[in-house]
Amino acid sequence: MAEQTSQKSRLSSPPHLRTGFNTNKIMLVTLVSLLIPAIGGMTRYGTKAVGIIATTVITAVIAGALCQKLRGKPLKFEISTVISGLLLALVLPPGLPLWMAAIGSIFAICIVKEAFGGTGQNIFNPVLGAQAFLLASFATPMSQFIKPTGFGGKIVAMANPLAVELGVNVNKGELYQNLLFGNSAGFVGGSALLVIIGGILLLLIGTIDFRTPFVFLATVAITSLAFGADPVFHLLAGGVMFAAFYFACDPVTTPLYWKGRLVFAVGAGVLTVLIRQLGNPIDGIPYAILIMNGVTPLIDRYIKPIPMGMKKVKRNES
Amino acid sequence: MKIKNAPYNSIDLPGYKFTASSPIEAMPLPERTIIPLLCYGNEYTPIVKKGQTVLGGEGVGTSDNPVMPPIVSTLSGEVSGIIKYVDPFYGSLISAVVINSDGQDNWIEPVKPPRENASGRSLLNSIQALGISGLGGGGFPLYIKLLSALNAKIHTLVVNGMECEPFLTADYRLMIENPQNIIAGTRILSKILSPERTIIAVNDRYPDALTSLENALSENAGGVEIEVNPYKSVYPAGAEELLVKQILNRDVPPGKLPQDIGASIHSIATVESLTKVLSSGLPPRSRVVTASGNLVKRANLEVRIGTPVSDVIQFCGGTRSENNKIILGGPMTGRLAHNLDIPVTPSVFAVLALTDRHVPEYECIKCGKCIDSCPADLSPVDFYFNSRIGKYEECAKSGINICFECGNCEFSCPSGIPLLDYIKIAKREIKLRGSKS
Repeated sequence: MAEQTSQKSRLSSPPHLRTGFNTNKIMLVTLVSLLIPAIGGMTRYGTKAVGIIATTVITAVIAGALCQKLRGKPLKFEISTVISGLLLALVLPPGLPLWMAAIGSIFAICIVKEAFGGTGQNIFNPVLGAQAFLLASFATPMSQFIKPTGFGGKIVAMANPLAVELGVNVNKGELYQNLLFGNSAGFVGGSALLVIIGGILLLLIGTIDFRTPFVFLATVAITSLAFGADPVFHLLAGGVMFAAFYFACDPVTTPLYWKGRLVFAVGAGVLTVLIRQLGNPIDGIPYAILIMNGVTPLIDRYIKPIPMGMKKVKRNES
Repeated sequence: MKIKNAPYNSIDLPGYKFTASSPIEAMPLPERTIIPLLCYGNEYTPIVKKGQTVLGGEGVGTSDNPVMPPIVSTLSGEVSGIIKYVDPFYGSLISAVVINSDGQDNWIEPVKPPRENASGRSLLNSIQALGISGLGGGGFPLYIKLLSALNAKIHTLVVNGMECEPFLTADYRLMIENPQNIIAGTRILSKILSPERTIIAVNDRYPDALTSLENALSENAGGVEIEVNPYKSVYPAGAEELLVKQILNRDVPPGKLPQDIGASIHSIATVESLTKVLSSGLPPRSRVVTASGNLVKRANLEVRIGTPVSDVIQFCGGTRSENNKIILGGPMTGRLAHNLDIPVTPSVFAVLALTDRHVPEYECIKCGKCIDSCPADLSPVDFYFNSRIGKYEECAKSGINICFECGNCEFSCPSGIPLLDYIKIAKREIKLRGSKS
């Protein structure tokens, strides 16, 4: 019996215990949390939303498989690819032609993710990379929004609140309510409330750190106040909630150390409002996060924990 | 008393203290013992021959280094030979003397126990003569540790009863069953080192151990003042560097030992055995081992040093299920017993059978959980990337040698990357290159 036990043993080095919280589970939780705004989007935009979500997810999975084949890697189903596809659909306007959505999805997976080395190696967020790519390539369809009318409703063009100058006599309560429930024109996943619910799910399960979304949202609010703009409007409109809970909390493209991630969140928050207030694009999110993605290696280099016992050494040197 | 949070990054591990209520049970005398000719990295030359009879306590090996303690037989019988085996802690082939028991357990003449009012110096000499080794994970000879602590002029003596790894209960049972010995042993160390403060640190998961020690202290009042303090039960609260950080609020500088900032730390088991060994006048013969995990019988066993691990497992009725790995020591820092014909040495405080699960490895997603869990504020992920491509100098520059291998990073890694292995490889390479130049 004793011999049996020893011979069957694989090599094992300490620690012999591991956390049950593995990458697959984190991905699965993220996917489930995204289903909340996705289902909300489908009820508001009906077949249009279903079409876009199906297109981006299926294209992403196929593109991912093709890239793995091209790179000579074993074919492996990755939940992160489905997440990228779904997230992309949620930040596209519902009226977008499906072939454009498909191109965006292919760009996200093949260029932004796989060309940089695949899972864990990409510098830029694939979803935002694709969104920026589509905005540059198809500017008009990317900025045309429609009224949420549910299944079988008529397609009526409607302006995105971010593109409209806010008048003095706008009913603020109604505006906030529309943004929260996604009744104004916006993305497929345009209901801020449902994204917040998904984000709270992530916080409760512990896949993301509460500090990052909190600092990001606070920065957006403070910066918009500094510009004399309405902070609540800026928090609820566009992709800010997605950025807070998903793009700024994406482990791969943000700094390693939590202090670095806070710098990332502050930078992204300031840039978002700057672009919205002073720039041409209607929403600053994709560019703000992408710029900060580019700065991430630099943040990682300079914002590191000081190892135990080295603090004093450093002070003596300076 | 409010227990302060740990002043370092830590993780919460499940307790799994299944054997907390099992009293210490003496294992029957083994048929043979294996005595490794190795003490803290010093290899010894055998001084016995095959067929020779030895008594318990008789020397079997000698070292060129005069401060190293004698290595003695732990039972009486006949030397059946000198074997070689790979020691999982030392990592390479070492010699060992195998002694077949004659069932008599006869011992050499005991040395006279030290007098009641013996001086620190004479106590230290007794410790050297009896060859008492530390019963913590390091297995460092107590005499050498005390000698260097005397040179370092320590001001705080800490007896470490944190036992922060899951499953382990050996120290806990000692605190419950033999608190008098622990107090007496602490007094002896205190006499030798004459520190300003003497602290027994107890895990806050063990309130009854705390009461037990406090009761023993009040019954045995007088002499140096001993504080019995609870500290937060997190992993790795029992690591020397961190316990010192918690008590003194100071970091141990890189490459230094806790004694360099004035603290000498000893495990509960060492202190308890110190009292027993000094009063009996015979070299240490056994230690308490927690046998737990998937073993049929989970127990706290008093095991003769040198008993083969297979005997311990047999005594516990084997394992509950198939597909187990046998771990010597705690589940976080213990080593795999690749062969069960190896002995229980002073540093083996547990024999655990754990399910041998395959941990799938995914790509690093740069989540930073290893950084968030590192008690020494290192960046294990940087070590991983640099070690993988052979940039060991980079690892050395970012403080890899501060790592005391608690395993938090690897435990926390959601991608199942063997971070600690990469760290160990880098450390080894740095050491090899350093000694070459």
